[in-house]
Amino acid sequence: MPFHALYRNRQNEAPYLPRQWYLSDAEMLQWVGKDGVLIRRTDKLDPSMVRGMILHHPVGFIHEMKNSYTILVAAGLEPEVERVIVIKELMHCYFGPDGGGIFATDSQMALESHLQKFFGNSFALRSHATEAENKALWMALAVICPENTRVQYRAKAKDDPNAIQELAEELRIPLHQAKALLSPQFDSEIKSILQ
Amino acid sequence: MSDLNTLKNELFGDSNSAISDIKFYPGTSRENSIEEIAGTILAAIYDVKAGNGEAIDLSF
Repeated sequence: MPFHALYRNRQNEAPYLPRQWYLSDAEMLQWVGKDGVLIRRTDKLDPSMVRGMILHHPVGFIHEMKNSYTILVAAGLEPEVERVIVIKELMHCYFGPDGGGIFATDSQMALESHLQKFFGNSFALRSHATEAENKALWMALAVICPENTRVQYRAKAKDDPNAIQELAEELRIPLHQAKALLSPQFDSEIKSILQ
Repeated sequence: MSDLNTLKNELFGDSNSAISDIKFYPGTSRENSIEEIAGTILAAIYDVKAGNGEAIDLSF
């Protein structure tokens, strides 16, 4: 998965990077290309139901646009939340031109199954598509924060109760996602992704 | 036609324009039906296809 190169490149950068950096990297993927991702905020997406999504589609799906990926985010979100959503959705570009094969939601039947399992919120109803959703979120967290910064903050958090808040502020992400970055689960998730 | 069926048809009904993947970031509530969720997804897609939607400042 080309995510490995992104992860490696990210380690050489500052702790905080704007979303444009992530978009520019994704647009260097051969199957994405320059101007390959259209990102729009819309008040038609109800944030109580869906806060963001990415579609991979033929050119022309959005009239007169040359993009083959479209990311939509709900209007009215906290900037930190919106930031994580856009980066998470960009991670799906790194699954490859076929969306990772078995991970792709690429038919009417797959879409209905995906909606039922992902939004049904039942752990017993996991699928390859819901696995891809979870994986993309961990991938996003892993490139939102360089590993050396994460290690520093994890050590600091042992003695300093404000460390997680400081990490959230430095990375400009929600507090609960800074907590996830420092959690033992992060280690196992990112190890699995990088294998 | 239900919103779910309309959404499935919008995304996959025409083999020449069918999408090859779609993924989501969940909402703040888990109390909505799949039909309601399909409705808001559909509305958002129609909105952007109509040329609406706001470009995002990616400097943050």
